[in-house]
Amino acid sequence: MKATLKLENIGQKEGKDILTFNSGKLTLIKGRGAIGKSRIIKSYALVLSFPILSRALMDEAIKFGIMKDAKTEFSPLVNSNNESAVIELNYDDISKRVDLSIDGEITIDNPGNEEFLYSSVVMRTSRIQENISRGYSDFSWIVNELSLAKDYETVLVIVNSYIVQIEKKKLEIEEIKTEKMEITRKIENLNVSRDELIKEIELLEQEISKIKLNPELKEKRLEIKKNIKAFQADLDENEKDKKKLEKAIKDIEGNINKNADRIEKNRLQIISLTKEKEDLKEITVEKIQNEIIEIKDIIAQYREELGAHNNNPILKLKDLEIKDEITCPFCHTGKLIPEKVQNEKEEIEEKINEVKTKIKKENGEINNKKKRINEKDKIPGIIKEIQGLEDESFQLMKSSDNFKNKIDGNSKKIKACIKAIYSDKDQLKKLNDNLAVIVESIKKDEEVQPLFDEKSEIDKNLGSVERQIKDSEEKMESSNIIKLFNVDVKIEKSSKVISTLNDVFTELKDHLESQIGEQKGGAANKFNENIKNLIKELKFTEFKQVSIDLENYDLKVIRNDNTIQSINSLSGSERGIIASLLQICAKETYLPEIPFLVGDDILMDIDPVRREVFFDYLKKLAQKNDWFIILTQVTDEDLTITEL
Amino acid sequence: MSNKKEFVNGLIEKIESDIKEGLDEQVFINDIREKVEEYITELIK
Repeated sequence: MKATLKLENIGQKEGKDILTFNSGKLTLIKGRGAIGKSRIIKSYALVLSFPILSRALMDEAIKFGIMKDAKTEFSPLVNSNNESAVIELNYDDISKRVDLSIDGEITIDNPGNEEFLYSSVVMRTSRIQENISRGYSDFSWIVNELSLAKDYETVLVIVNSYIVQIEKKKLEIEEIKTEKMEITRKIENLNVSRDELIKEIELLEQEISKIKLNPELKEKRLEIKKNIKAFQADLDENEKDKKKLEKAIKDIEGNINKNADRIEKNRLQIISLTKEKEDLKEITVEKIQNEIIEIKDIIAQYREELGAHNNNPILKLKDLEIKDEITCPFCHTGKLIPEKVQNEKEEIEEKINEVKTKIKKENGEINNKKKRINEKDKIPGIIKEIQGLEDESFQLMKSSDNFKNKIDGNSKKIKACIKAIYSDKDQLKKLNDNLAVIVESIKKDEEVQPLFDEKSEIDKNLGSVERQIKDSEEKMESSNIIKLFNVDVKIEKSSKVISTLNDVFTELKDHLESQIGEQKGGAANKFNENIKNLIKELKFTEFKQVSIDLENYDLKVIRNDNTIQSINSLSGSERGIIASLLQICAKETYLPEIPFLVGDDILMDIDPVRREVFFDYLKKLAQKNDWFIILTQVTDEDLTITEL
Repeated sequence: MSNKKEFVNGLIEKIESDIKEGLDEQVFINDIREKVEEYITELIK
């Protein structure tokens, strides 16, 4: 199988490059430093992994220099003298094209797999290499990132947040229930007290009635009491009606206010749309085209300025190592002072960036102007929108008028209620006055006087108890509903609901934990099995086994004498071997279906004998799997591409 | 729907299918909240 990689304006090289690679081979890209080897590896990394969505992998891509970070203004892969670049890869029947702009925007026509970065791109800065060289033994991240465990863990966090909320709600329900029980007990006790007081009053009244009173007064008192009861009931009814009507008026007023707000909003929108319409009427194609021509003139001036900067001979010194004062390579007479040259170079580069930013801004302005021409077509739509808003406002005003009529009707009813209330109160006052006169007359009897005093005291206590009962019942009513995840639930049903939800989320948690364990364990087992075979194949005698511990996912190295060593206790060369083993193993374990393994400037820390062993193994691996294995190697020569 | 087992199985099915298709965390959070609210409404009917 052949792979064709087309590069345009990638890295330091301007223009197009077409490179061909064969599968089943180990390809070495050799050459001096800064000759353009890495840009080939980076191009493969980007075209086969983009789009990159995971935060951790995005950091990896920034470290590799294939994507820009938020602080950087320009793409690290696009040639600095150009606005855009292209990478095209064709292999088998697969075709991919990535378009890059200087400001970092990337688009791809056929998406890759972001995990390619962890499993199939080997750089000195890649996470496996860095972790091993720093002596970190925790490899849970690799079984996490290269399996579905990371997604299950994300869901587990969400499920756990529900479990925490359920626990809080359980406590809240318990507190409300305890409070309700206390209130119920209180009401029961108050009812007992009330019954006792009523009984005491009845007894007192019986006693009072036994005493011989003027029968006329007695009868009159009973009649007045009966009338008082009737007027009191009427008064209560009227007050209730009045409250209902007042609430209805308040609700209607709320609706009128809502309508008024909406009408005002429409009015402001109509003003704004009318202005927009007038502005659009003013647009003429000719005027805008003239403005575009003016901007294009400005851009032409900037481009001239950019050309002048780019042609500055100082920039051509960038590949020379200016360590000592040297003779000027252009005039061959004057001396160059390194520090001065460096400063001047930086100033020119800064000016180039400034001019590019200005060109970009002006191009943006042209696009805006072009869009403006087409905006004239919006006028009929705006007129329609204005008409719609006016119609809506008219309907709202009509609806507000109806509301006002309703308020007038209700106000009249309230007036009638108030009149009835005054009349009831007046009657009650008169009746109470009459009753007081009669009671006073009865009280004159010395025998009855203390009984009346006692009864009056008990009446007072009864009133207080009844008020307390009413307050407690209102409190009870208000604590009857609880909000469970935005749904109003009656308190008596809430325990069952929350207990069911608890069962649901506990079951989900168990499922997720088991899936995470399975995913991680599966990924680690697969990895361990592959690395065991790899050590055997490479005939490494110093290590018996390198494996990921299934308990804590730490990487352990077992020597031939069965001693277990952690990564940080290995020598630098041993770490280099382990890192390379792991990287090859990660590729074989996690992403064998993408037939590319690329590496930039690796295997250099390993001694030449071991390196040859690795090269031989990689050759066989490429042949066995029909993969493209492409590595860079630093030499003192020009760029060459060799297949082994 | 008010059957607990049915609801749990439905959520597990959703988790498995969302993960398989590439999990979008925010969409998943909203979907789960909506499903839980619907389930509570069913339970209290």
